[in-house]
Amino acid sequence: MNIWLIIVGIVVLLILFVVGTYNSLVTKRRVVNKAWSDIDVQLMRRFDLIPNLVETIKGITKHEESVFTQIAKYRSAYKEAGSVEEKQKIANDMAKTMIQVNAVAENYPELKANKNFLQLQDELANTENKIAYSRQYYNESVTMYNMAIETIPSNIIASLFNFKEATVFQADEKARENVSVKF
Amino acid sequence: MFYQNVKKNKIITGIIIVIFMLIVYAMSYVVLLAFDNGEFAIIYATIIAMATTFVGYWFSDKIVLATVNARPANTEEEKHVHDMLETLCLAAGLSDIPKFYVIDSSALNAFATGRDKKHAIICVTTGILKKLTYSEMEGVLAHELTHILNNDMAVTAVISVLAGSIVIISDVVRRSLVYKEDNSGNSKYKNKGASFIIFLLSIVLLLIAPLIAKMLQLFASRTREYMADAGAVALTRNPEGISNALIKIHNSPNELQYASMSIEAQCIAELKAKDRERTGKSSFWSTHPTLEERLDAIKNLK
Repeated sequence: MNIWLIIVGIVVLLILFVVGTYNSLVTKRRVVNKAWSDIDVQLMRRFDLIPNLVETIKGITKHEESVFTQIAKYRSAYKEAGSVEEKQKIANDMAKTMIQVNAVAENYPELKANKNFLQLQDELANTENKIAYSRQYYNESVTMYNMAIETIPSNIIASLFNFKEATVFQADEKARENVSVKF
Repeated sequence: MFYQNVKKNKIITGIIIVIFMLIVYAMSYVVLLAFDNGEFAIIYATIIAMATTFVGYWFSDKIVLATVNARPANTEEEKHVHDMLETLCLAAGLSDIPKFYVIDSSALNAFATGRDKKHAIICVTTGILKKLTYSEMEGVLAHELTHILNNDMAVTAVISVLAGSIVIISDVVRRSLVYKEDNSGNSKYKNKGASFIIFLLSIVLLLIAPLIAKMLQLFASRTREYMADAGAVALTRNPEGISNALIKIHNSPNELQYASMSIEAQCIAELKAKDRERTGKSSFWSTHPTLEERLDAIKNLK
């Protein structure tokens, strides 16, 4: 009689543990997804702003076609990309190209007087800022989620229900420094 | 990590709330032992205190906005700051962006209020908008945003209900004591010794409890400020921003007019210039740590 009670008790505790851990993993994963969608919105905004910027520059700079076609390519690639990892890679490549665009603008002082261009540049800077901040939050939530997946005892539940690690969205700092612009 | 200190401060707030509850419980117990009708008065008084605090807390956004003459942000520059707030909300993962208001005043101050994240407002003065740089302003907004993230309005409300009921209970005890002494001839106590001990206990509680309550309340308020400063650093990843902002705010002699002292705990710094000028260690009676203490705490964040 007593042994049965103990067994029932253990089973109930186990179920509570599994349900609790499972729910907390789901919540953490949802936070990660939500954080990603925040970045996604900002990245899309960056892609939408750039064609306008390019239009403004195009009138003044004729021989920078390659940079502009490159941007257009990234834009459509980003829209078609399925996985978060793919999108992250394109976004990082895009960031490198953005530096080139800014460098192009530096070469044309007359752009500094163009009100339209300055406004777009301001908006882009604002968006870059938002991307940086939402990335910060995304990476924090990914770290929390991955930690839960890797640590005992929640890792047992994670592998049982196939929770996959999320990728941290690393800014390509090194690539940024080494970018060389030749025109 | 940044959050180490925050965790410690959270625990401190929790302990304070528990101590408060124990004091309230102990006082009620003594009163129930000592007096025949005291309990009803206490229950009524406590209910009234809770109700008023609750109304104050529930409508805090509307009440405060009406008293400080705040208006929604509308100029180009103010909209820029609102944009900064939006960006910080992304860093905090907060999907409800707090409403942003401006007070026309040369004082350098800012506060956050509202019962929860959905009803939160952040209010800044035109003075602070004018005097602070981009990163300093970001620090201030992140500080206020952290007050919202930490649910400081609710914590403050709970603590003030508890502190309030302690004051009320001791008040009731005092009145009852006077009344009892008048009728000492008809004392119902069978055991004189016990009644004397209860009498002494009541006196001690009566004198000390409200003081302790106020001190703990202010201690909690200072703790929440440290947490908000730490949060500002965690969100902006820039300790200089909030530090320089605090220095500028503390050095300004201007004061916010029409502001009642009740919003002081939500403000980024004390309302009165002479309170902000305090140096060294903060006193038991201040709502905020001193500038030195806050800068030190920011420097020591790990």
